[in-house]
Amino acid sequence: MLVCTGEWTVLSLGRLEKKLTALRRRGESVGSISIAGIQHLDTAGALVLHRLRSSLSAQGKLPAVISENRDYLNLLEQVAANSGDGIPAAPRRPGPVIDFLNTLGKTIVTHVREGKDLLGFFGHFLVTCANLPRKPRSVRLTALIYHMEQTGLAAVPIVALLSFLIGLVIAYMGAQLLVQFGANIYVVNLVEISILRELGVLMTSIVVAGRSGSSFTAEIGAMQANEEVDAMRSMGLDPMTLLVMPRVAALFIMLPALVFLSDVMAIFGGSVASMSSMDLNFSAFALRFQQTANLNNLFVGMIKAPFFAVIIGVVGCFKGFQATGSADSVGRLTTESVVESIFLVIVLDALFAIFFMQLGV
Amino acid sequence: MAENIISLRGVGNRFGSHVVHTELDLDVRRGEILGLIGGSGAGKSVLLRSILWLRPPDDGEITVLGVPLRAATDAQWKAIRRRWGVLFQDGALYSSLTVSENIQVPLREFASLSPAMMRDIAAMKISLAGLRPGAADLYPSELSGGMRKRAGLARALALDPAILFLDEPTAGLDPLAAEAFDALLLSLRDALGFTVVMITHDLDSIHTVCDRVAVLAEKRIYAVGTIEELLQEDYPWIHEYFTGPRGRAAMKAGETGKKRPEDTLVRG
Repeated sequence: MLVCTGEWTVLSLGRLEKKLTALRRRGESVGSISIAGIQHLDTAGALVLHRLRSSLSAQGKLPAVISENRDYLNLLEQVAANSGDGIPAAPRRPGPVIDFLNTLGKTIVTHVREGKDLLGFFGHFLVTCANLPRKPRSVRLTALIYHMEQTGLAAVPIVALLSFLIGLVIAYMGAQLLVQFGANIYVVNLVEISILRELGVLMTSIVVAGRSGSSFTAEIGAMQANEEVDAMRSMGLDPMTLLVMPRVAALFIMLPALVFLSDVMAIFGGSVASMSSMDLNFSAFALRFQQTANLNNLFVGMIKAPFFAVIIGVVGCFKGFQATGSADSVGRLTTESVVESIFLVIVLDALFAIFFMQLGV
Repeated sequence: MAENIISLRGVGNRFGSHVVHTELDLDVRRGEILGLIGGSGAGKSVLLRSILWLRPPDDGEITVLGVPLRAATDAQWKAIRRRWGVLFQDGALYSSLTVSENIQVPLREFASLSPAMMRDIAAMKISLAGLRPGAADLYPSELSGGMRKRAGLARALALDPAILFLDEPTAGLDPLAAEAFDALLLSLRDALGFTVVMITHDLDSIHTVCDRVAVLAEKRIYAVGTIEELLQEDYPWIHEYFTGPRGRAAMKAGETGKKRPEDTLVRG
């Protein structure tokens, strides 16, 4: 006979476990188990008792349980009925190599599929755009203005400050090098070309992707999780017209404006740095700029802005629609939206660079 | 048996100038199933959140398991939180964990068990709550509303609590599932012997499972008692509640429902 005493509750089982394993290893069988000495028994304790009873059975005969306490016997019965004997154990994890290949394959498949979906979404967006002139009333002016304020006006301080600092840094770094050649004055051209052609538009796009692209995903994702998007569809309202168009159009209009602001602020920053680091005063900087700056540089930078705006807007909205009910999906998608739109912006920027080089502008 | 496991004295809650509760008294006896009813906006959920100390009451004292909550030490809090389980309205399962992992959260936190043992216990709770074993490795977003409630119940039962709080456990379930849930609750209560406080709008489940019903009205617990006792009260709302067309149907069903053998085992 096996005599069990003391606390058999979920909180005290940690201590019991080792003793029980040792007992099982002895492999003896007993005829009966007395649980009269148990002070507290809960479901976890009863489960352990049940397992113990099964493992100590002799020739398929369960040891009898001896107790005066009806409640404990009832509990034991309930637990035994639900102990799920024969529930499949946790699936065995494959080896690290298989695991790695598995993850790799899954990642590739997911990305390819997602790329296809994104392309489909973009096509849907273009079709909606193309239909717009036929249905001018479907333009949501209030929403458009609201998003222009949110994505454009509200971004002015951060874009202005960052661009000013970038211009400052470029002029500083350039000045250090150019002074060695006595070519101080070329700092103006360094700032002009780097900012106007590349950095102004790239910096602004990255800031806007972080600010507005992410908020598009979060807003639409929350609506999707809350079934608001489904409610819209069921009323015959097109989420593409109502949610996506105003956002992307707002970015399309505001991003070039922000890029222009960024260019101005960066060049101003450059001139401030030139003034303090090599006594190139403001009028000399402005004169040199006026004489040598190439208008093409400005155009090359500005023409990219609307393309980047569409990328950021479409990726942000697309990711929002991917949201499912769970709380962590919106957070994950927001991160993905920012990373992917910045990635695509830089890829497109590289393509533009090659294109303009071939054109010779 | 008549010992009070929870008692509220002079509890008051207000949001700004809007008074939700004032001078509210309530006693919950050990081992009973107490239903908490009241019109929409009467402050049932606020009261539950007060007892759980998620929103401490503005006035008054709440005593749970003999400990006055306002003066409870950290150690006492830990002990109390280990001994109550809560089923929130939509289960409130952690969405990044599977059902089995959800149930293991309190086990991992409070008990020192081997992973295999925790998995075993979780599997038993899943079965007790009437879910099929295959549900263990599903994520909450893959479950139906009724399954989420059962999984939430399984998690609330993880540490064999002395008190179980249920917030509208049968809302949103189809009648058969609600009935099964009620039967499940009764059989678990008989087997495990816990006390239940449940907010509910479901007249059938009030009749089938509740030992006593507390009516929240006029910013306090207007009356507590069995349905027969409540009907003695001279308060129109109570009469409309229990003797309206839905109430009468439930009462009829309840009379037969009560005679159900108590050790029926229900599988989902």
